[in-house]
Amino acid sequence: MKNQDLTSWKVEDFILDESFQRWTFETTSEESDFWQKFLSDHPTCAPVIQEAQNYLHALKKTYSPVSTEVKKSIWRSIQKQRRHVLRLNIITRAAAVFLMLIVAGSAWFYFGRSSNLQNFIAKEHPSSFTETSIIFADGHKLPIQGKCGEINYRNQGKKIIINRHKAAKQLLPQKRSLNQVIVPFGKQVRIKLPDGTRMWVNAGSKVIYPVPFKTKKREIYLEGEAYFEVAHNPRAPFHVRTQQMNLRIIGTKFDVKAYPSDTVSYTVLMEGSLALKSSQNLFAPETILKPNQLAQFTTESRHPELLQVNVEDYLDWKSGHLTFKDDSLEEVIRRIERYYNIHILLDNEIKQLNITGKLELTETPGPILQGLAIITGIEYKQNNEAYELKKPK
Amino acid sequence: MKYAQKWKRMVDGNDRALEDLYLSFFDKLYYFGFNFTQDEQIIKDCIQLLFIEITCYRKKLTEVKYVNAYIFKSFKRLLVKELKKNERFEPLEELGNPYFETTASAEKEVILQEASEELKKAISASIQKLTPKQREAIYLKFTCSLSYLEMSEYLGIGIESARVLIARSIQKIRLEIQKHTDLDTNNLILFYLSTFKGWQKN
Repeated sequence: MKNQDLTSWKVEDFILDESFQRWTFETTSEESDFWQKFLSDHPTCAPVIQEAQNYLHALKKTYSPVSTEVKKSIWRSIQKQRRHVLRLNIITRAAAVFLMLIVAGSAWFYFGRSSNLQNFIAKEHPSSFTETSIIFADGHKLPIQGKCGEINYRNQGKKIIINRHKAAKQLLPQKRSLNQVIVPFGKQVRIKLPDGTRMWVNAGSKVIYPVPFKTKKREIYLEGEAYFEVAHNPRAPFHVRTQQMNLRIIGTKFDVKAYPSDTVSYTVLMEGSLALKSSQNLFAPETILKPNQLAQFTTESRHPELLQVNVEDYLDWKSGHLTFKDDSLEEVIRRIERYYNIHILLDNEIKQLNITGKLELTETPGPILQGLAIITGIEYKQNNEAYELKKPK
Repeated sequence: MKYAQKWKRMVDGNDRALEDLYLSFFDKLYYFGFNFTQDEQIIKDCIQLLFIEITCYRKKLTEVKYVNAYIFKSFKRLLVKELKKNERFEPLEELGNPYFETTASAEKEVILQEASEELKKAISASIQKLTPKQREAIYLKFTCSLSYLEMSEYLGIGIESARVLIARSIQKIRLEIQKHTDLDTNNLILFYLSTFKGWQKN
């Protein structure tokens, strides 16, 4: 710089020169003397220098500083987490005992809180709703029209897009607040949460979750049935809690059915891996579920029963219909039984009938069985909860 | 380098130096973050994460030569990761290039000193015509005061390329502004002509 003929410099040259930048921005720059002298020696360069400085000031954005309070509070959390890390480094047996105490303590805390949460949830029941609804922390309700609604969270949950066209804003006065979604019977809803996790919630269900999730732990409470596709984030494990089950999701696709009115609740894993245990027994060991496995709890059992299943059967409700291709009637009936949770008597002679096509899932099993009977030319009888399919006489 | 000494003391275990560094970088990182997202919480989380990372690995950070570049680069890495995780780092095409746009709410925070309001407006407008990479470079160079050396470290390019990147961006901004001033002069001439014609008719 100092060897060049500065008098021939254009505005750009000055803007790009780091020494010139320092002189413009930093009042105590050592180069200050040099530039001052240059300016007084060559007054004809003054307009060019002035323009270059104007540019530099316009290019530099200045901000009002963030409040000291905010900075201090973040600094404190940095310190806290750091101490935590240091403590782990020097862990001893005594510390292990101490940790046990923490675990016991937090277990108690967990229980205490969970009953609070359940009190909160118990207030609303799907049967008293006719439309799928979101209930915000302040009690405000937002209805979602349609048989299969859609809720899409954007912008950390501050913006909610309903059925793809309606947008709602959610004020989050605290860092996060609880959202509750109630799905009445005969409806379904698809939810995309702020973290990218997708959830299909079946009829007669209730889900509750914080918006947005905590950064360290994602937690959802469910009553009813929902299918999940969890967005991967190893730093924020995903948990689903029901009255009987506690699930820790490692990944990624699974279905949970846990209606409070049913004696049996279960989890089916489609893809990935998940760990579960009874929520009644905090110190029970976790059971790891593999794909195509179902874990079932009854109100009496505190340990899950594992079964190998065909996962497709458990997702029929999602699409709203059953599809068959050259399947035996026996198979068709098995899936209808599964979906409606009923038992159907089937004549041995007609078990091997082949069925191809699509069956729309109705609210009750009556119409679907009636339709099936007409197509296949068999006889259908219903007496209260007893369903029967017979070869016509 | 400005922060080299403090960095060295921090690596040696001096907590005061660490806090100083945190305080000197907080505002810069905070506003830099707004170029990528409007989500204030995520920006704060990433600043926190960055300094926890630095504290935990401080002994291994003796190799860091350019503190400025290292801090901005690490912060961006954390931020991009966090945003991608939450799918909020949406593809550029989809939202009409939100990336490195001077957005309205960030604009509010800006208080411009000295330079005339008009030049500032003209420059802001012409910055929008730059590529995201050029915008980012301009921001780091002039707002965050990174040197060419630090920028080359941040961008992973040679020092000369960093200089050229800035030079091209400045050229483009100057051209854009000149184009507009020329346009104004032309308009002015047209205006004179039309008044003259009008006067003739009368």
